[in-house]
Amino acid sequence: MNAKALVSFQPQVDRGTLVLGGEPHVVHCHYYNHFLQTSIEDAEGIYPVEEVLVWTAQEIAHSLFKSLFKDTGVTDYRERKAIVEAVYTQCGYGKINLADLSAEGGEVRTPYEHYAYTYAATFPPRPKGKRGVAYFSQGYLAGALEAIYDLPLGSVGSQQVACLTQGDSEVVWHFYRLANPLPLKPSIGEGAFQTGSLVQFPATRIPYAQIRDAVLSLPFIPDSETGLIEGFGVVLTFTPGNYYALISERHMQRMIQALGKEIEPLVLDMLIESGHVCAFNTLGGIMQSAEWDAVVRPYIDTPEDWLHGIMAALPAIGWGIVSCTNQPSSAEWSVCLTNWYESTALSALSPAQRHLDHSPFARGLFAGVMALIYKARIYERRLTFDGHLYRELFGEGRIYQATFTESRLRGDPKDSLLVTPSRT
Amino acid sequence: MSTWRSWIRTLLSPIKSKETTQTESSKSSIDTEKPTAPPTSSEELDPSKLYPILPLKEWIIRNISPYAWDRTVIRSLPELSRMGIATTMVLAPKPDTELPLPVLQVLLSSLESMYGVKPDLREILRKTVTV
Repeated sequence: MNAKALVSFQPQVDRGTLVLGGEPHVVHCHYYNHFLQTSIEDAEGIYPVEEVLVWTAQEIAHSLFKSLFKDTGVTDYRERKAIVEAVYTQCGYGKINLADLSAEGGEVRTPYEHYAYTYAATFPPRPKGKRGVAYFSQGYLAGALEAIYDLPLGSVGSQQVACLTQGDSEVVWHFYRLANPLPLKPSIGEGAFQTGSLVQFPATRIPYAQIRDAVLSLPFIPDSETGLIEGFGVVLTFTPGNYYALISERHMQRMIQALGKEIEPLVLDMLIESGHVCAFNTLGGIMQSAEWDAVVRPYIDTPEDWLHGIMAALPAIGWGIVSCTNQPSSAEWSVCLTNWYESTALSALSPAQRHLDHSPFARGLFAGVMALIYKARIYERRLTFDGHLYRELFGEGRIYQATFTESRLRGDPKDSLLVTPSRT
Repeated sequence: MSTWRSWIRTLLSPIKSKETTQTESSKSSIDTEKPTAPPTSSEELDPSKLYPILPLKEWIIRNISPYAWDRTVIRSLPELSRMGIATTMVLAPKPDTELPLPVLQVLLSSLESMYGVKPDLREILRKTVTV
């Protein structure tokens, strides 16, 4: 069996998704990953954040690999482990070897894990005694272990016992069987997905479909030594979109549960900020990449074409299909989001199970893109994506703000977003 | 991987300011070891008096970012709750919201643990409070 050959994303162009093991995956960069995780981790004194960051990953990985093993008909434990190892690397999470795991658990160690590696390369060691940053992998591997050995969801416990961020040379996790299972739920998979098509906006030469297909064909190849994916000046992962949506939703719920409704604006603000971080780094990186210069730039005539170009790329990184509802300008950008991954994930929950009534990440993201175009003027100068520029765009007073004029999570048939200059 | 390393370092590293005491000047951090605290001018403030909180919020937003204030508040909430401080007073302080010095010190401590930044509280309050 060639495990690598069994691992490939299935692009669903009518949904703007990349599916593997029944799970839509989205491309994000380590800036966004760290920002969102750190925002949640800040609440560690308020509620046990592992129950959100680790358990959610465990649920998703369990469903993903159960589905993948079923689809491929693989029943041999060693072959299943090889598939998990291949998926782990293919998604840019790093390199792992599961040889020492059994149905009773065991230990996994690696010097290369996305969160730990990118954090350790940037910051000094965290305080000793503070847990490591590889929450996602911890849960992901616990869920994978359950799937490998056909164990029930929630039957494996886990712990991260070493981390590069603490000065250790490796990330180490322990896995063990639990007498009392964790209260976990199977993943929502493709959720309440929508279908649609990429609409070519008439007032631009930007060839939407051509750009989407070009991005889909980009070889995001993990480094052979580290298993990490470098691209567009950042470190990328293919992560189940449900993970981001659910940890955001669950964090909000836990915070309100602990502190009351008055905490909501603060949590919302952090989730919006995560969109700024993503626009600035991932999308900004794309817009200044050699690939952009080759594929998009020849068709750019106006600053607005930068907006069209980046919208065309989004379905290829699994975020859904985005279309303009009128010609954008520096004063207004109105978009319709079809199958936006966060909305699709959360729409699969009953209204009683969710609190978010829109995707705050999308609000920050699209406002951030507008800031890059019209404030930073990316169309006429090469930007340096540093803290100075970030503070200029998103520090004192945000340049743009976005609001959902329609939201599937409020019962509307579609998501519509309007970006306008902030009134500060 | 040099490009991405530099961005987050500059974004989250200790801020250089005349109002700031850098406790670990050579390091950048979103979550540093707590250093042995040197005496700061906030210790010269009167613990029995109330001080406005808005200037501190504005300083953090201006010198770090709006989300730095959000993070600081979230980090501090358990301790503030133990001190009996209503969440709303810290979440959305008004110009006349005044709180005891230990509350401001909790916020400063959270800020320092995340960013390695220890602003001079006395300097921040100077324009609004007679110390």
